[in-house]
Amino acid sequence: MSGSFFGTGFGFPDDAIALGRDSFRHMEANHDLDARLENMALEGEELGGQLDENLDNFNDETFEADVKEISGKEFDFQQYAMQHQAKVPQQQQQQHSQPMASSGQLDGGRMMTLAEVEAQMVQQRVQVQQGGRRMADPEVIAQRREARLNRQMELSKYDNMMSRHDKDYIIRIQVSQLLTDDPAADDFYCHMYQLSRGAMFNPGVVQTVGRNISGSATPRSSAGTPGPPNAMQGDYQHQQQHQQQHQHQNQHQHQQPEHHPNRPPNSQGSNDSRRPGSSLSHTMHQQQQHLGRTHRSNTQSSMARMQQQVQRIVNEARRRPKAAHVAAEGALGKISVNSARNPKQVIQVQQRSHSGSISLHSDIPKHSPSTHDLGGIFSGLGDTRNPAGERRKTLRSIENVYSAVLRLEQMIREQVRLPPNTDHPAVQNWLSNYTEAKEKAWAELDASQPISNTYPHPLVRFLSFSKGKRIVPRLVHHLTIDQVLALTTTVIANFETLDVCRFGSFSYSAAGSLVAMRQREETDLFLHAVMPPTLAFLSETSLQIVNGLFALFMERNNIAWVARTRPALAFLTVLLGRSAALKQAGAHAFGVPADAQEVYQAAELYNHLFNSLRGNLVSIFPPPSSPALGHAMSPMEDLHAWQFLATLAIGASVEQQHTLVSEVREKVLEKVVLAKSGHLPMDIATALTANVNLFLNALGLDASQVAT
Amino acid sequence: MTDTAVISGTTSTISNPSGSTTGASMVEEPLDLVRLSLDERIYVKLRGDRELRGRLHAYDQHLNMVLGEVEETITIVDVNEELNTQSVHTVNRKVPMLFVRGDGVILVSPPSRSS
Repeated sequence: MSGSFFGTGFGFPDDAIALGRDSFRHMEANHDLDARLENMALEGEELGGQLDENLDNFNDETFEADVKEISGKEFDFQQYAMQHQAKVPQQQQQQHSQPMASSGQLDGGRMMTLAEVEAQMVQQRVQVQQGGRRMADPEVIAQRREARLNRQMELSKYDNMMSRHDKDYIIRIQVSQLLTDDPAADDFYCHMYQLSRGAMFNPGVVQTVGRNISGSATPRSSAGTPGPPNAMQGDYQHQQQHQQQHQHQNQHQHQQPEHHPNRPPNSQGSNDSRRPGSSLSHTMHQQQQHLGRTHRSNTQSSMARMQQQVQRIVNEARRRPKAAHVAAEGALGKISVNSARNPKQVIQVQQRSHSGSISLHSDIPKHSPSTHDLGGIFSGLGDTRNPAGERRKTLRSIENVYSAVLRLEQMIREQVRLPPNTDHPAVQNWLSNYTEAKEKAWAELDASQPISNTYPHPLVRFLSFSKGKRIVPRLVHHLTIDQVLALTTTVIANFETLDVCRFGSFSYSAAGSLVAMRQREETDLFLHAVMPPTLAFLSETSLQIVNGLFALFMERNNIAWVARTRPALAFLTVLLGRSAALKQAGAHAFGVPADAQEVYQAAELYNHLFNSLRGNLVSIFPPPSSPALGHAMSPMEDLHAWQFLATLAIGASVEQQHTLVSEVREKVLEKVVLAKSGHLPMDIATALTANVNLFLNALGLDASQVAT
Repeated sequence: MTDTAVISGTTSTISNPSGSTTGASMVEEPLDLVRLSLDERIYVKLRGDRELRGRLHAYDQHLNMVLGEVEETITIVDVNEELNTQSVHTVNRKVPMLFVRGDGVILVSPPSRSS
């Protein structure tokens, strides 16, 4: 621990790290008397001001003088010193090396020539050096030691003003401000953030909880929940507290449970009142974990002491819960006790209890069934009559889905805490709650409304908002296969009307504008959020379903027009690829060989697709986004088009292949020439070639075969 | 069509101004209207002749808000005493992320259609 045990032997390190370590140690040690003693013990030899007996040799020079030698004549100090050189201890020799070297006299008092003097000097220096580093260091060591002592003294000039008792008192006051009634709810976002960061560090540990953290880039903040959370979902908080408890267990299994001030580790499903915990202890656990166990003992012990403090305070608070309002008997009015969690309110608003509003809510359908029925019809026409109202309705349903998903995620978090046997009543209860919440979420999404009823379809309107797109993957996580199928079907059936498709066709006019950027963002969001679950579903279903969806896609959408958009191309690519794989594999798909009829159907669909696209194939390539950087950006943009062409080529018959090649030849040539021209940086050129090769390889050709 | 939700100290149920109420879209509290605008661009009027246009990321019951990509417009009236005239000019500034304290908020609304 101290620098003197390792590294250079005499304690003063040259490198910055050890320097910092030293200064840190000095600062730390001053806080605490025992730590200082500890330090002093460790750095024994660096104690100031006290030299060992055998190192104290400043007064050892005796010269062994006789009175006789001195009196009566001029005492030749120089000569005398030369004669008695060997008797002086070694350190003196170095200090007096200068005068000695200039004496010019060897033993016996001869005067030496210049050459001899030089030889003597060299010899002495060699002796000094050969004597080891220890010979050269003592001066330096002494200087450095003094400097260090000075620094230490300055830093500790004002030490020990407060006793340990005083410090504890202050700490107790400060920590008591951090006490919360319900740490899980109050610090929810902090915990989630730490969890998701912890998931980066050690993905194994936080898996079960981290799974439910939103996959989207900007986690939806439900700081928007109006009113204090208490009013809305009382047991929501309660559940969160359980969840936090479990998080603790997940993350800190290696830490001793008794350091856990919140609750005993094995309580489950208890309905006891919310006990005060402290967010501080949680963060301290985490800090210790992050800093690692190789941390110095000082900090560890001080952390441990702080934890004991916190524990003590929490126990105290638990014994005597403090109310937010104090009303003395016989006095009029209440005195409110303010704390961090209960700040002074500028306006006092009485929260209407939500049970009241819910009953109002449920009254309405009963009282006016006719308007309820008409509502469905209106929403079809409502779009043109009342665009703002429609918009609000869609936003409202988005918010409902968000609340439902949040509730579902919360339930999942608790699920891991339930007992393992499935006929336990708590488990049944949870299961029923969960399915109910799921159904509600699904109903809100409104994906299964009959297709022809309203325009645009509610699901399409839902997806026209970016927040709608973002919630879909989170929701899909909880849905059954059938529901995902329904969702996919609806999306496919109304593909044309999706906002991303409507952009795709005429966005390229104003390339750099804000609108174009937003459109691009929305398209990307769609491709990354909404498509993956549906595509995953597609890649796992049977040929029959794939055929059905394929047919639906082509029937309901104008292929030539829609094929210009990236989402449509992605969809078609997957559909084609899947049907091709299933046609060939046959026996592999679920162990059931593909029905001959299905294979036939798939082939028919393919031909249909081909025919509708024939003559328009070049249009699937996006025009260069801007003439200047057109080439630079295009590898990314063309990729989806080349992939589609490649998939198309796989299933093509010979004549179809001919058609393909003849149509796309210009484009291929252009790209290959560009790649080979050498104007572009290497990686872009290789990317371009790779893209083109996607297509050419499917045909059995290669880019290198193209004659330029 | 009134889209603005003016927040006062009292709460009351608001039905859609156009009159068509279906169960699911019943707005329960004025703050629910603000909730609908999450992640959308909004227009906020503040005390001190200030206006903000930005994307609403978060809010709470005090109307403390977190806004992103915000453009603040301060309206200044210069009164010239001798000539008894006044001139009005505005100062604009852009802030990428902003926290607004709720007690300065006068109103919150979707941006006016013209802007």
